[in-house]
Amino acid sequence: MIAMILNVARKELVQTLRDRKMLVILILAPVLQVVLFGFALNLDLTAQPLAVVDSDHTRASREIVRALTGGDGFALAKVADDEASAGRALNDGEASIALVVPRGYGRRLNQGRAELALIVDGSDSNTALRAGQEASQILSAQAIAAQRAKLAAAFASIGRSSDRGIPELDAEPRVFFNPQLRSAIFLVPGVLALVLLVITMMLTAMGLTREKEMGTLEQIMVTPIRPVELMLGKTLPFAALGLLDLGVALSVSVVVFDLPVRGSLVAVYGVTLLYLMTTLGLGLFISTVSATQQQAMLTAFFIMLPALLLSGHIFPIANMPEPVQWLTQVNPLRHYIEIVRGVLVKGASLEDLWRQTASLAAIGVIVLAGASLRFQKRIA
Amino acid sequence: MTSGDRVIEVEGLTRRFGTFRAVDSISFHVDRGEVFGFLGANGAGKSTTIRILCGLLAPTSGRGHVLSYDVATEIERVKPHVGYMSQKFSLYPDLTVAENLEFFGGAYRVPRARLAERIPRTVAEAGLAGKERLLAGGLASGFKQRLALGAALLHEPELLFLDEPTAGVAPLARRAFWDLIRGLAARGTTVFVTSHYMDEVESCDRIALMSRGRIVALDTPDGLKRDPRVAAAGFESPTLEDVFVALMGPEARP
Amino acid sequence: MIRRIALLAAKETRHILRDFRTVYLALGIPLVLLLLFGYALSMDIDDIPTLVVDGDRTSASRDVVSAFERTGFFELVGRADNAAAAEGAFRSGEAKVVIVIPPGLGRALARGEAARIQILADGTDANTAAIAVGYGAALAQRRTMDLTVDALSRLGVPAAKAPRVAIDVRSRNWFNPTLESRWYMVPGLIAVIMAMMSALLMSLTVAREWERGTMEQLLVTPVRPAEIVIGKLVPYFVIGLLQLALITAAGAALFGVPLRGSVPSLFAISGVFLVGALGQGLLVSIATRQQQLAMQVALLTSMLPALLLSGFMSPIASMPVVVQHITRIVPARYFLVVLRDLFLKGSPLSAMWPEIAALAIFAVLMLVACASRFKTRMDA
Repeated sequence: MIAMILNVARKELVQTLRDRKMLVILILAPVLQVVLFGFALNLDLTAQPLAVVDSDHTRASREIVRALTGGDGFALAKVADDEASAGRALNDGEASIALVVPRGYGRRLNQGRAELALIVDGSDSNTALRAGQEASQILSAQAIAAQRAKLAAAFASIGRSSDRGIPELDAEPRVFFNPQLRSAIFLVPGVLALVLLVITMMLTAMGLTREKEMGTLEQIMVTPIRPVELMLGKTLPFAALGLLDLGVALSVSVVVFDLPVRGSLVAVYGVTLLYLMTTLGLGLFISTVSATQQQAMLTAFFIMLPALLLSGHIFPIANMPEPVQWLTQVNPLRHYIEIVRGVLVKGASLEDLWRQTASLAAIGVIVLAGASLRFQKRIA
Repeated sequence: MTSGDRVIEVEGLTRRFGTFRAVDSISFHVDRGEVFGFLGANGAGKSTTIRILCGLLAPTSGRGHVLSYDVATEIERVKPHVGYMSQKFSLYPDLTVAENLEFFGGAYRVPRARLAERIPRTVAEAGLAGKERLLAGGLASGFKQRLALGAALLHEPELLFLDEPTAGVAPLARRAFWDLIRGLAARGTTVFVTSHYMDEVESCDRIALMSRGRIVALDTPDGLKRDPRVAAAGFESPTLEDVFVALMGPEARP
Repeated sequence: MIRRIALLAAKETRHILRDFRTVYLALGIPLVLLLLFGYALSMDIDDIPTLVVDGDRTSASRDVVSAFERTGFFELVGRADNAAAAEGAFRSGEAKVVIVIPPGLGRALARGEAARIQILADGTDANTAAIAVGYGAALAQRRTMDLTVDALSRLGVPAAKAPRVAIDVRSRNWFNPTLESRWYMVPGLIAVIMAMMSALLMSLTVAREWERGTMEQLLVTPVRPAEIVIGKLVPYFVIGLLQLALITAAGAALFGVPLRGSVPSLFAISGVFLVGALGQGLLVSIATRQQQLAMQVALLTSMLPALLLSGFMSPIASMPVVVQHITRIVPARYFLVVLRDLFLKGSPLSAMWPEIAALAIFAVLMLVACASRFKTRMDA
């Protein structure tokens, strides 16, 4: 039995890796995916190009511009003469947000109430919303600082020192696990899930279907190879390749993005095996409903995209409509990502995450059992 | 048969894959209207030779001319005059019989009017009348073989390359196939065919025996039987099989 | 030549129609993505599970907690006894923020002293953590302001006369007054889908013929590589335009996305993009002779860049500079800009000529690369 499985497995590996390029790609793919996701998908807002129309030219107006451009969020891209010209800058893509300071701003600010206008490029509304919010926050902070100065002056004028008698509430932030707030850390577990999915679901499905497409399945069926041996022989090599790629992806993440490894790697690999039960099962299932490799690939893709998008990898699950949130409970990627995030970044144990682990195991068992039964019936 | 009309001329043709010489400096020629057979065990270099002559592979060294065009540099001018049928009868499995024929006819630029006559005739000759709408992938292998041959003949080529055309086909069908080939040759088509079936190549005009990339012997069937090496090996009234054994050694048993 | 192209295109079309799953998926995947992005996926962050450690239990501390709740950002899921519980809660995923109010807060504020609360955030989700910290700071400042005004009024300065500073920020959204995020999403989705599907569908066509042996048969005919390339592109080009029509219509019907530009312009530019995108997929297929390998390469070189580097998921300006330069060779980036302009700004074609030129150049490059890389020899 073992010998037969190894026989099939070896053939599968030879066929898959016949082109040396395949091996290269198998190593390169996780590297590229980690790097691309980590660097490109920076979910923070930085260096948004800002256009400024300053019709006031007072110290107050210059201060407000400095407040906006002083941090990482905005970079001064254009000084415009008037609103129309700022609008053109938005139009051309030279700036994604414009600040308009009207004449008299400084004077009115001194009197207690002043107005500013922010114009955002609404054709990119995700960024627009957040840029607008961030800019508003910065400007409010300015207003609050100015107000505090005035209140301190008011206290002083009544003869009281401003150090005593004014209550002050402070909020001290403490960020756990990722004090530098690097967003790559959030994204890496999802990339791991994706890498594994492509190899163990997509490639497996295609490999299994290739036999059918080539017409060699018949040839195999007349040999003494048993269905379960064929199944294991054809899925185990991809599981092994998947685990190898997991190692590569993890290494790259640690080296390039400084991913913390606070928890047990054994736990991560253990949970990965549970995850693979589902992905391999899906690969088996897809091969039973596909006649050609193209069909297998397209079907796998059709499953993969929603699974990835609804996994909490990028888009928060808490924001999805209720019914969809319930749906994600059967998405193995969701649980896998939560567990890997927990174990690697937070140092959690599988006990801490028993709910997710149990869900992953349950899904895995059901999918793999069902798919393998179906597969073996087809072959026998 | 004009002996001056050499349809294929090969000199010192070599094809290497890395250090492995699949075809090792072979030389031969084929005259117009001949049925020329290439015989040898699997891996002897027969398919590689055909592929070079069809333009599917480039030679590493040596010269080859098909219809007086150089196979290394002028192969595109050869293609319209040549038909090819591979071991795998490579037809599109998800196209019907008719669709396969229409496609390949068009690929060879057979004028539409001509094609309209040729296709029904090809279908009939292949015994596929009434089966035009069946998907090629579902045909029995005997029918696939005849369809593949028909597709290769739609454009009435001067020269036909057949690579193991009867592989995996029942003996009765094989015999019928060779009748077809002989008929073609009688009408002036030159046929270059590879095989590892002794009984079939008996009916070739001349046969080249190929082993490990080299041509070991080249003559008419009778000429081969009279080859001194055969007698030396102890065969008195040799069959072609005996010739094979004598000239290629026990390891070359097909 | 034309006749042979028509012939090859007809053959390719037959392959597609005989395998109807391809068509279902070519049209189904875009619809699924449209629904997902339109209804389920958003980057907004709300209802973050929050724990409260209230060591004070006075009306002052309760005021603080309710101020946090009122933002809509924090969703109270429970109370804990002490701050040490925070780490465990983060590990198990129970909460992402813990607000710690020390005992004596109410008394300190009443006496006009300083008091400090802690905002503990799970840094794994850097985005959420940053926003939580930001909110915390803003709320604390506001509270301080209100308390100060109260203190002032008790000293005899009536609330109305207390010096105030307010900066009113008027946010105007150019082009997209309601900042309807779906309006920007749909054009972006068109670009991403067309890029991904083109790569997906084209990447296997040539590799498949090599695997099956039909390519050999094709190559011995007088058919030229250029004819094969164009013949293969034609039916998938038609499918691409169908996808465009489908998403545009669905976007208008479901989300009211306007098409302010002209329809012929839309189809013309999309056509140019399609040729390039399809050509890229075809190039992958030509360069690899194994379907599994082709799929992987297409994934890495077409789909991931289109998804991550086009500006669809996250703004290009936020990416590291090196990555920004890389996005210049991603055609989907230019197509995205053009589509957003066409849909939301109604710009004329002349305004977008740099992007159109880029797309046209890419299309020509791909066609030339395909025709020249297409070797008629088996071993090339």
